[in-house]
Amino acid sequence: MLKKMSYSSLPEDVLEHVFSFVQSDKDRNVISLVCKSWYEIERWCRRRIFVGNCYAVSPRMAIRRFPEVRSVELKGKPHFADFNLVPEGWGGYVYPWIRAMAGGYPWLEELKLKRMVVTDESLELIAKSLKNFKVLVLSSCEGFSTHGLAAIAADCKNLKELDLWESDVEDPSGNWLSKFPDTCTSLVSLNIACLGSEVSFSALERLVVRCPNLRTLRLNRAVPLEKLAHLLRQAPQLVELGTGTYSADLRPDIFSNLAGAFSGCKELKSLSGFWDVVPAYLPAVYSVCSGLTTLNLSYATIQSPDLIKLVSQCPKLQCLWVLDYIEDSGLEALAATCKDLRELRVFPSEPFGDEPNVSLTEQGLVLVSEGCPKLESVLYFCRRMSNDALVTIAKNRPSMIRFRLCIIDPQTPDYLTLEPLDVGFGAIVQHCKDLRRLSLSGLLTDRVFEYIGTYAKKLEMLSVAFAGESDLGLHHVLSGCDSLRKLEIMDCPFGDKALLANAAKLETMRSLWMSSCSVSFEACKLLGQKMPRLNVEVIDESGPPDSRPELPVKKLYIYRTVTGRRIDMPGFVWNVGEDSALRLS
Amino acid sequence: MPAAVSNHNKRRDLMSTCTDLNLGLSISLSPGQRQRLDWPPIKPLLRSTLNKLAEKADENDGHHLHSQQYGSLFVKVYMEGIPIGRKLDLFAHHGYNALVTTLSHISSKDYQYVLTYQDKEGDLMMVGDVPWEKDHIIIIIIIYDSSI
Repeated sequence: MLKKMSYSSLPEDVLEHVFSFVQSDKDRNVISLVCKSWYEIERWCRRRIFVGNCYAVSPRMAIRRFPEVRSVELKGKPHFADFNLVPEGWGGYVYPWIRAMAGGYPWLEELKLKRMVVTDESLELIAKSLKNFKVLVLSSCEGFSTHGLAAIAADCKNLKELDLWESDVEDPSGNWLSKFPDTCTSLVSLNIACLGSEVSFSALERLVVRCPNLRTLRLNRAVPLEKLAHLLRQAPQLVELGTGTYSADLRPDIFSNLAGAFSGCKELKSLSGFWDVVPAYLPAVYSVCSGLTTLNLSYATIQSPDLIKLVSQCPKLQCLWVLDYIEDSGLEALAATCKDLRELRVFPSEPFGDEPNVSLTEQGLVLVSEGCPKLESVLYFCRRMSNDALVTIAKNRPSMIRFRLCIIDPQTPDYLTLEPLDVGFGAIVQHCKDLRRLSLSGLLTDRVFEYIGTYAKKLEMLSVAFAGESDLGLHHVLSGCDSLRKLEIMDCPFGDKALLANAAKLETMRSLWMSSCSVSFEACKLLGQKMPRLNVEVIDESGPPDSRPELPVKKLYIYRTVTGRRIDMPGFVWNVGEDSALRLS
Repeated sequence: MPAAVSNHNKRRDLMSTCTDLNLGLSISLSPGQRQRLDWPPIKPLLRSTLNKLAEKADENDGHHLHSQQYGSLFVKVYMEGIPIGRKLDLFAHHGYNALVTTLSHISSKDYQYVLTYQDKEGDLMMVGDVPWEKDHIIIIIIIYDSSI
C-alpha cells in the first residue's frame, strides 16, 4: 500500500543511491534532518563537506559525523582579513584539521582552504599521510613555503590540481617544480601565479609536456613572454591560461611566434596574467578571443583604446575583471559586444590618489547594465555615483545576485543632488529579489538599512563601511534580513542596543564582524553570557579591553560554534563569553 | 586677459582675479598619498601590484631627468571641465619651451596660453621673465586661456 509505505523502510543502499544524486550541501543537510535512519544513511554516503568557519566545529566532530568524506573545504579568517583588518597571528590554523584528517580520512582526495594559515609541516603531513590525494587549492592562504609545495609535488603521485590562488607563499627556491617525479602525468590544473620568485623553466616545461590532460596553467610573473610561445606549443589543449610577464622588446619574430602559438590553442576559454603588459603584443591573442569566456586583466595596465580593441573581439565573454583604465568608453564597447556577460569587476588603478586618474564614472556601469542582459555579479570601484544611476541599474538588471559598489572616498553623496545614496541602494534591494551579496558605500543614513531589512530577504552577505547613523540601522538588518549569514561592518555608529536586541539572530548566522563601531565591552560580555553557542571575541592589540571600559571595543568577531572557545587565541584576542569548554565535548 | 605683469600689487590682484575667473588650466602639487590600510577594500596581491606599478611609473618618468641632483617634482595638471589630472615632472623639462610643449599635448583643444607662476616670495611671475632655474621653486602655475 503506497500510502502506508514509509521512505525510511526503503533499503539503505537504495536510499544511498538516491542521495548520491543530491549535490548541494544545503539539500543534504535537509535530508539528514528527515528522520534518524536518513540521518544515519547520510552519514555514510556523504563524500564532501564544506566548513565555512574552521572554528565552528572541531575536526574530530566533523570526522565522527561523516567518516567517508573524500573532499573537504575549509575557511579560516574573517573576510575582512583581505583588507588588513585581522592582525597577524589571529588564527585560522589548518594543522589541527590536517592532523585529524591524516588519521580519520586516509582516503581524502581534495582539500580546499581559504584564508588559512598553512605551514610546511601541514603540507608535508598531507603528502605523507594521504595516499590518494589529488586536489589542493590554497586560496588567500599563508604561512607556508615552496618547501611544503616540494613535498606535495614529490609525494602526491596522483595530483591533479595545485592551485595557489592569491596565496602568500615564502618562496626561497623555484626548484620545487622539479620535485614532481617523472611519473607524474596526472596534472589537470596548475596555478602558481602568486609566486614571487623565479621558477625553474626547464622543470616547468618538462611537467607541462608530460601532462597531456593539463587544462589550466597560470604562470607567475617570472615566466618571460619569450618562453610563453614555447610552452603554448607544448600544451595546445589548454583551456585556461595565465601568462607571465607580458612584455618584451618589440620584435616581429617574437610577435609572430607568439601569435602563431596562440592560434594553435583552439580550446582557450580563459586568459589572465598580462603582468607589465606591452600593448603592442596584445594582438597576439586576438585569434583566440572569439572563444574566450573569462578575461582577468586585474594586473594589466592596458589603456582604454587597447582594451576596447581587445574586448570588442570577445563576443562570448561572461566574466571580465579589469582595472579602471577601461573607462566609460571601454565599458560602452563591452556593453555593445558582450551580450553574455555575467560578471564584471572593475578595480581602481590609483586607489590612493585624491583625484580620478581615469574617466570612469557611474555611466560605465549604467551602460553595462543596459547592454548585458545576463549581468548578475558586479564589483565596481568608482569615484562618483548617483541615486538615478543606481535606480536605473536596479531596473535594468533585476536578476542581479551580487552587487558590490565601492565609491572610493568614504561617505560620498550623490554627486548630482548631494543627497545620501539611500534611495539608490534601496532600489537595488527592492528590484533585485535574488540578491545574495551586497556591499554598500557612499553617504548612507539609517534609511538604507530600513530598505535592506524590508526587501533583501535572500541576502546572505552584507558588507558595510562608514554608513548609518544609529543602532536603528543595524537593527533593521538583523531583524529583517531572513537569510543573512555573514555581516561585516567597519566604521559605523552601531552599538549595544541593536546587538543585544537581536542576539538570537546571531546564532542563525555564520559570523558578524564589527570594527571601529560603538559596541561596549560590557555588551560583549552580556552577549557572550546570554548566547553560550556564540564565541564573542574582542580583538585589541593595545591591551585588555576591560582596562578601558568607557571606550567601545576596537574589533569584534562573533560566530556560532558547536565546539566552544577556541584554544589557539593569541594574546590580543579575548573570548568574553562564559567558559564554554564544558558545553559540548 | 591679463597682460604682462609689472608690479607687485597688481600681481596679487591678478591672482585673486584668476581664481574667480576659474581660468582654463591650473597646476597644483600632487596631493600627498595617504594610504589607509583597510580602505578602499583591495586584496593584498592587487594592492602590492598597484603599488609596484606606481613606483615603476615614477621611475620611468625619472628617466627624462636631466639634472639628477634635483630629483623630480611631480605636479598634477588639471584642465577646466576635465576631472582627470595628468602627472607632470617639472624637473624633467629643461626650459619653458619644453614645458609649454608638454602642456600643449595635454589639451587637445587649441588654446592659447600665457604661463605664470608663483615664486617663493608668493609673487605671481610671468613665465619667461626669469631664466629657467631649478631653485626658483615653482609652487603654482596658472595658465590663462587667452580667449577668455
